[in-house]
Amino acid sequence: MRKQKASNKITKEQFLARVMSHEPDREKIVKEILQELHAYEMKYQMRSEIFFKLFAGTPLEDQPDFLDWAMCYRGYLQIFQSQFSPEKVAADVIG
Amino acid sequence: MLSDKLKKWLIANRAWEIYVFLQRLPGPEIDLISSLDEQIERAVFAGNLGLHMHWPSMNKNLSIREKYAFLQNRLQIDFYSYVLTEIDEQVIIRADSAPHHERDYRNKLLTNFPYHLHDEKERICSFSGNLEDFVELIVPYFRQK
Repeated sequence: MRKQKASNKITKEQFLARVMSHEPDREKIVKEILQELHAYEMKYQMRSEIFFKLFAGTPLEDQPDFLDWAMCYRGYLQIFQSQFSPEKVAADVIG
Repeated sequence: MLSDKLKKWLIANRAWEIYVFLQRLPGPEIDLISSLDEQIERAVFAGNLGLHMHWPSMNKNLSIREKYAFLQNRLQIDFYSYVLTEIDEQVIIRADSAPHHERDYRNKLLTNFPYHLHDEKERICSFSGNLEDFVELIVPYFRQK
């Protein structure tokens, strides 16, 4: 079996330095998540809110796509909930 | 509450572990480091990491999804779904932590509930919950023609 090429190797220190060297682009991330949710909505002809209410946390969820969709939607909810966390609101008020 | 920077550091360390585990597989047709880098950013805000790898010449896809929680400066995997499929999305084997099964296909209690594996015959089996073990299980499928 062909292993990953040695030229692709990177040390843990190099990896962590690369990852920590830039700031996350929140808008880009939200856009990607919305695109992903939209793809599931098109595939299953159902809005994510409805899917989440009917399927998430039930045995019906036990399909790879549905587990992914639910996780993706939870991520979407987490981003918007974090916008209204006490810390963020206080920071906005104080400036 | 943890700062975004500390969260990112913890997620990056987990992503490195994932990278190391995946070294047991052939190189996928993506830049794994760049994909992990992008997914770490997403995980800082959305709390979950999703990595999708393809090996068209071997007719394989691997999807890794993990949702994280942060407790006392530590990262905990709150939920995961690891899926090996063929290119047409036909599932080969998969593992997840959805609490929908208590017993395996022989009616024995799962050893690490809610962690379980759906084997290639779609039977429910006990599973450790470790990605490293899942990768170990799927290595033979990459040797098949």
